[in-house]
Amino acid sequence: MRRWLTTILVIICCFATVKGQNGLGLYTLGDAVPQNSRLNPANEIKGKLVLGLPVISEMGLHVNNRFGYNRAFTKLENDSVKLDVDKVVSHLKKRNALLFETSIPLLYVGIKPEKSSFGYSFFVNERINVRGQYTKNLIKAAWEGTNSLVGQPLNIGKSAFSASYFREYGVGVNTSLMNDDLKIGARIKLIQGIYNVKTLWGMDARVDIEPETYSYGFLFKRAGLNAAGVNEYPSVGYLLSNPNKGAAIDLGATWTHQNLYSLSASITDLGYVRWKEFSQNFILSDTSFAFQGVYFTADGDIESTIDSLKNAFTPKETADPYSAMLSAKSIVSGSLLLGPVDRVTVTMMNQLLVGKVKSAFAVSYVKQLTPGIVASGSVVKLPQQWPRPGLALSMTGGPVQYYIASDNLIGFANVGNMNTLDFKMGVNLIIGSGKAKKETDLPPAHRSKPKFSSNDEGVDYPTDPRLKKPTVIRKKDIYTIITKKKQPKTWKSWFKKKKKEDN
Amino acid sequence: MTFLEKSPLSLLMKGALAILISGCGINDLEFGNLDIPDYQPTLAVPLGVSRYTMRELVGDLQDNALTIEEGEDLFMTIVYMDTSYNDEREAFLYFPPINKSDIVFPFVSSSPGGETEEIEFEKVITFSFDAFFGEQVDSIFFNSGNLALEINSRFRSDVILEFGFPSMFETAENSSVGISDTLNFGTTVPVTSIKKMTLAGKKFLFRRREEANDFDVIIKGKVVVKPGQSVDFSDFFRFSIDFSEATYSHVHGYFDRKEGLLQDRTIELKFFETFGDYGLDFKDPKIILKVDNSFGFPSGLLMNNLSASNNDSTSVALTGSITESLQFVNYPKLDSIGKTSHSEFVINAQNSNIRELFGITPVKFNLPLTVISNPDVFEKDYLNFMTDSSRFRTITVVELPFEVRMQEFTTNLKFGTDEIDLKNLQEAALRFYTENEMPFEGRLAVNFADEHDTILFTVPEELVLSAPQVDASGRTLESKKLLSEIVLGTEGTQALKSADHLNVAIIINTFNAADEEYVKLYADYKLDINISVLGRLKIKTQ
Repeated sequence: MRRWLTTILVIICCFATVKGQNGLGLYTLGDAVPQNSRLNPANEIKGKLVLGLPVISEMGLHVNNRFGYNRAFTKLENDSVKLDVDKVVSHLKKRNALLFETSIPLLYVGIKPEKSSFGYSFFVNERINVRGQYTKNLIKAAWEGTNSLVGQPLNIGKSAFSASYFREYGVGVNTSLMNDDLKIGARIKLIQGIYNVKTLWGMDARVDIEPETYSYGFLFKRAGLNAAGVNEYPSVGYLLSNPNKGAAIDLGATWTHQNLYSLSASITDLGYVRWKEFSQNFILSDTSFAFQGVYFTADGDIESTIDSLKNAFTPKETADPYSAMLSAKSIVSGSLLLGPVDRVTVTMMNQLLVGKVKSAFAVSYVKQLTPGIVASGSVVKLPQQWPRPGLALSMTGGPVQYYIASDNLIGFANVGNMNTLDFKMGVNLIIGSGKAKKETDLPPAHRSKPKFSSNDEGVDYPTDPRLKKPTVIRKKDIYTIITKKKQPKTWKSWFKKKKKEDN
Repeated sequence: MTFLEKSPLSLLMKGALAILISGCGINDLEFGNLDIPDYQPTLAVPLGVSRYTMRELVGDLQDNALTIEEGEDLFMTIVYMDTSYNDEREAFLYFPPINKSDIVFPFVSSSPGGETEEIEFEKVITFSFDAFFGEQVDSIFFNSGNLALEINSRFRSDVILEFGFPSMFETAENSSVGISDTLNFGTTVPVTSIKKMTLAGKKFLFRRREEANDFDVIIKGKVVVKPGQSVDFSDFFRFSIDFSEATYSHVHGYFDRKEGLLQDRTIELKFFETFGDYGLDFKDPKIILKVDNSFGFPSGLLMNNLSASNNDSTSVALTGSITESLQFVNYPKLDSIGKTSHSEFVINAQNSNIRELFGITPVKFNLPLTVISNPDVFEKDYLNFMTDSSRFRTITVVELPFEVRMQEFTTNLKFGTDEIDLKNLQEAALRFYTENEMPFEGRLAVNFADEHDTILFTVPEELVLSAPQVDASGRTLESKKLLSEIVLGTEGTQALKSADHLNVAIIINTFNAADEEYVKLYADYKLDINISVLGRLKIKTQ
């Protein structure tokens, strides 16, 4: 019993509450961080060669929970903690999502040949996807007993679960079009499946308890479970290669309009795995029946009634191969480019779960602080959560890039009450990203102050060859009138101009 | 790094980094010494359901002797039927074996010298046998058997004999029957001879006297004395007559008054064994005795020993006018030999206390019926007869029309708790949801008892069946639904866990039973009973 309860506890406290893909805050840093190409393949490879080091190039944890530790556990005087399931159940909503994704990078190589508009990448990742949804009624019935279902039908079909462990081998390509206004990219992945457990897609299962008689009405339609590789002790050979193969594609595009705004869209993990090896299917027959207890008027006894009930719940077991879709996601974002170094970005990430779209939102302010440092501050609204502040920071010094991001900063103030945890960090090697050192490639605000010298006409000329020499129109007294400097077209200058016109 | 000093974002970053570095109180997250609460679900579980029609309810009683009759309006009548036979004919007529012998002295004397001398003689011998119990046989018509005549002569000469039986005839021709024999003398006496004659197809007429039945044998003889032989007055012969293995087709006579058991039956009424103990009152129960009689004599039935008894060994005897006098049984007359006559006797509430007998919900009905032949009160001196197939066949029909009144009608049941695992049960409530078309209400009384039948806990009585209204024709108007709950609570549940068995009493009252109103039960009445339990369990997790 203890083990069983502990299992339930783990599911509720961990998997049931983990939600979502990597932080949206990090995503807003765009192509500053190579790992974001997983969410949008159109992101440019910023360097001749980008190396994502195994494991350390992406380390992080993303947990999204309806309740924190302090809601589930009560500290007792004897230094022990008590699990308070009643409190947990009371805090659950009608429907609760189950999502967990993690990735362990084994290799990432990005190449951007000089004078080429194309960038190429090759990557290998170990990935674990867990997703699902459960209803409060289901947990309530499990903990409080079936009395809680009297008069309140339990729709088990609204609960679903899928957990996969697989490896992806992929190649990606991206390029710029339309004078760099449009960037597109794609990644094609070969999937090597290792473990999978999932409920059947489109499952409909209901339990209805009649208030007067407590008789149970059951309905099963496509109710069952697929599993592959679960019961096997994995051999090294199986882990490296086995017949559970699949394929997937990631697509993305970013369009920038006259440095005023940009739009991005991507869809990732659009693919499937055909699970063949060690596959098991446990499928209940499509049926509907009522259980009213023993029929006193019939010849059967209690045992035969229980036997027939058992038969109804005994799944048909087969070893047929089956296919399972990956957990596809789409991201849409739009940015207003406030100036050459800052922008406001709105991001929406969608994911399909038990026939319903689950969305996360972020509104971010991104600023390139220095040529090597990009930071963003976000307000992130994750499913099941109130909006919370987030922060992402990328620092590049020489060939080494560090990044760190979190979508819930305030949660760290009190971990016991933390509902959601998002923390991600990593180290990349970026070779040949010299652009950052060419001052002319930088926005003016990031350039060092140019040095000036006076010419014969008394005009200070910048000694920096990057700057254009001003054209002298005329001289008046001590002033030298030169041509007006054309300001770059940004929302800030547009507003300034507009204001001036209005006045 | 001047941006870190000037930008507002830099302030946010500084704060964020400070929070991250602060340690976040992550050490407060304790999981090691975890106390998992006991698992205490409350389960709503259907125990079972029964859906009966009245037809099924009675039909399920599994009594082969029981049939359910339904009228056109589906009104039900329970019918028990039992058939018995009585062919003990000797109870009414004892027909003794006839084995008679006698010595005949012809009283002749002769010693011829030259010629053979023949001396004739004739004797009439009358045999008689006692009329046991006043049975005066008039005639017997034989089916089979033999008449053996053994003669033993002491004459030292040849003797020629003719035996005439004036009482015996060939039935078909109505001609007389005789036997002749010749006993030739050799050198010694006695000279013996045996003659046999089949009795099949013959009838024997007796002369009836007060205490005996007589028949005559006429003996005509001739003594042939040859020269050198001599006979004298002392010579005689002995003969015996034996009716062996005789069977008859019918017998006439007067068989006198005798008592016999028409039947000694006990009918087991399993219906009541299943259905209840006390308080069931049938409005018009009947016992119908149908007697088919092929004995040719007047007889009467005595019904004064009928009684009913229940499981508590309570017994009630049948009383009333029908038990106080002989009931005449029809019988075939002389011109209807071999045929049967039918009689029917109805014991009902008008001529007996039969409702009292069924009021104790009898499981046994004792039906000894005494039959008295030739009782003085009926046709005295009528010439009786019986055939080899004469018998009484009695069909006993117990008719219970389902027009009943149940007042506190109680059925007691006992359920063991051995096979029920109640270890984890903390509290329980039994729930009954009934839909009843039958015109009675029911209460449930339950108590939990230990192995010595000491009551540990008594559950308050609860109404579980509600009686629908009855219209003028006696039919219920519509079904009545009732949801009732028997809450055991903690105390009751603990008592249940330590109980050895449950005593359950179902107490039923028909509609307006207190006003002496009877209700009719129709075959299509329905009764749905759903029983479920709401139980709180406590399962230790540590």
